Amino acid sequence: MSSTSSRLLARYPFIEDAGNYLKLLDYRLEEFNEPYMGSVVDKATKRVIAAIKGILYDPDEIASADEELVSFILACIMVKAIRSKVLYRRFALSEAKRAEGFLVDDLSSSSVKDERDNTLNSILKGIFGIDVTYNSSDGSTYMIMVEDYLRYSTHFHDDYWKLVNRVVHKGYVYLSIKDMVRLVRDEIYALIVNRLERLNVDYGHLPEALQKRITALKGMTLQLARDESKEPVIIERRGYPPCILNILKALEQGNNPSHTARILLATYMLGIGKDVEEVCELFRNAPDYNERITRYQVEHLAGLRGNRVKYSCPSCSKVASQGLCFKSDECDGISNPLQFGRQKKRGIG
Amino acid sequence: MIDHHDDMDGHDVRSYSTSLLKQAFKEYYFNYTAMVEVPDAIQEREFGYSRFDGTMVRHLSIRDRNELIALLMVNVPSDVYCSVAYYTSPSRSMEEKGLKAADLIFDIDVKELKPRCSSTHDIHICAECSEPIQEGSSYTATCSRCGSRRINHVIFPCDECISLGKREVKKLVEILVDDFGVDEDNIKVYFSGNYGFHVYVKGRYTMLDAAARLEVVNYILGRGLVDALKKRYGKKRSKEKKRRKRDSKSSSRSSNSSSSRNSMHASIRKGKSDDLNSYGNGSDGSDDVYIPRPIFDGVHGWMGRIGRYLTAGDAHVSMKSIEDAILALSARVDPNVTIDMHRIFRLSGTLNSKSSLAKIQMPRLSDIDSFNPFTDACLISDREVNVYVINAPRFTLKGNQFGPYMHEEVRLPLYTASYLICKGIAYAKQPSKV
Ligand code: SF4
Ligand SMILES: [Zn+2]
Ligand SMILES: [Zn+2]
Repeated sequence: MSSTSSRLLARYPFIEDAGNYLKLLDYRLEEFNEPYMGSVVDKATKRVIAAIKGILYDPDEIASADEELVSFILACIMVKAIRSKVLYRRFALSEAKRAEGFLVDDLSSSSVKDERDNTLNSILKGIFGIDVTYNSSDGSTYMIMVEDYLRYSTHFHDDYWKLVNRVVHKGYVYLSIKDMVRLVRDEIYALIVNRLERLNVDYGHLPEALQKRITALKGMTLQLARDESKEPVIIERRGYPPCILNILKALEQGNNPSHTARILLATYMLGIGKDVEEVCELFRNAPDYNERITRYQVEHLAGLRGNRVKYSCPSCSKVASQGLCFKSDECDGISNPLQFGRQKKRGIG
Repeated sequence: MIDHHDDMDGHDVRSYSTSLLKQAFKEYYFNYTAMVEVPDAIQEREFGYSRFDGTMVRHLSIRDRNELIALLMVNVPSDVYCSVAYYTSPSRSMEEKGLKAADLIFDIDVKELKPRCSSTHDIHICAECSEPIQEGSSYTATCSRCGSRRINHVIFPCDECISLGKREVKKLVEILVDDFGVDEDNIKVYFSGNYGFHVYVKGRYTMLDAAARLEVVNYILGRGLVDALKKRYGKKRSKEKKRRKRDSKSSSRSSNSSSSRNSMHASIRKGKSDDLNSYGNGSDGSDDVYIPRPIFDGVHGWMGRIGRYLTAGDAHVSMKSIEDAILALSARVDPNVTIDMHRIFRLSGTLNSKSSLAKIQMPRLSDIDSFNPFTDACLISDREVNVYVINAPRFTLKGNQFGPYMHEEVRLPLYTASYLICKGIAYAKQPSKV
């Protein structure tokens, strides 16, 4: 590995595809039973513990680039072996936050130009396809093309991210480092989740040393699952139509969707077969969440209360008239959000 | 299109008028094939057309120019449309078309600009019995003849209305070029054939999805700016207000203007909010937000645009003047048209059945001022025909003045006759002789 690429891998280990993780370990898993591997196994364990505790993994001494990468991969293996959805998300979030810190650092004007360019090319361009221009006239500013900006910003609901409230000039959006990084943070999270999902190891035959740690971490995770009801929910986002995704995003970010938006979300979720419990859960992040009222309303929509009418999910044209439709080409040919994803698949491109 | 008139057989009147129009359109397509635009990537477009009987055909795919011209000649449609989108299989059903990209389009409807001159040239006729309604407002009027309240509003655009539309086009183009970096060569401006303008953007922005298009159109409308500013500066202001209250209390106690700077600002602001009240806005001024002037200076984008519009010098700017600036600087486009990527949009070089004028492209952006739709887009022949005109104001076509008419039979050039028939205020009394 060249020094620049190993530096990048140490900071952003997820840029490597999960398929390569075992190859990257470069040795067979049994070797982790050896005493000289103890420190890297420790590091991996600490990463997972940080995720469980919801704190930033921030080791005192900076390990070698190789050790950083290996500990990330081992941590992924342990997380997978523990088989907890909660931990999955926690780990991805924790690692995404860590990467976010590195990104801010790498993109800051004080960072070495080569390192900055490297990060821009490998992460923002390489992974997210965003061409970022460093605007040297003003040290804190980056420029990205309007269409790249919109690809990510349309997931945010806050006024702050509306194009109209940005500096737009000659086809570029001007961003501070903080905003630049914030724009892709959720994508980093999604990427790490994807890496975890695609990582395949023979979990039945893990080396003793790892197995021991895994058992211990499992205990901590169980506690976590019990506490989870107090934690913000991160909602699974695949396969939902754009109108629903937008509301989920808003909730995830702690925003308050409108009443009509809530009804749409609730009737949709009931329509795809979620139960009242699961639907109420979705609203837990709303700033004005009130468990009793939410449950009452959802039960009402589900037809469990009042006139016992089950409310059905509004049609796309109704949704559009409420300004909640964000039709994408995947919505082609459907007239109700419930039909999303059920229509015949066709190639785009 | 043509309403029943009591001394005529409604059915015949309608069919005479339709066949006259159809004849006029047919001659146009015969004489002006070169005007018809062959869209780029024609094989990836969905075409559609309406017939004079009101039925519509969609989901057509057309191979090339010859096939397009043949369609016009054979079917003589009343209106012809082409998708803004590019599809893999344009003739398949919606879910199987396979959207590849879509021109970014903007629709400027002069009617939405509420031109003040409308009252001087638009007319209203009873939808039931075609009696002209003299009342100014179509909402309150009742037909004096049959008592119906269903009134048709017939628009007779004048040069002034058209200039209003042009002004919006120019603002739109400016934002597209300055802010979105669109190359002027990629902007195509069209007269819609009736009462508006269409602007197409080709190139990099054709890949935007609907959510992104919504953001673009909101940007062009300046929608969301005011809310964000209120959010950002509104709170500060209420703190300031509290402080001012405190200040005024303490100064009344000491009756000494020691905090002269603050109280001067306060009185300036107070003066301003009084102004607002006198315009009937902002009640007690409690929801006025004052924004520091410097944030508009020397920046790009909307903030800079507002800054250049506002008068320099003031320390603060009222929300009202920002709202006024946005209204003056934004381009009033129809957001629904821009976000609908599956729309089929009138094809350039074809006739608009609301007016019989053609949708045509401005050859160059700089030509827009000299463009005159009543000459440049009026392309039907000038052979003369007899028509019965229910009511029409004075208007100009191809440089000739016509009208006013009131329940009279007139001999008119075919282009004028079609214009009036399309507007539903004239009809042919006998079969047209070819
Ligand atoms: S088309 Fe229907 S499913 Fe798609 S975003 Fe709009 S409302 Fe939702
Ligand atoms: Zn009448
Ligand atoms: Zn006018």
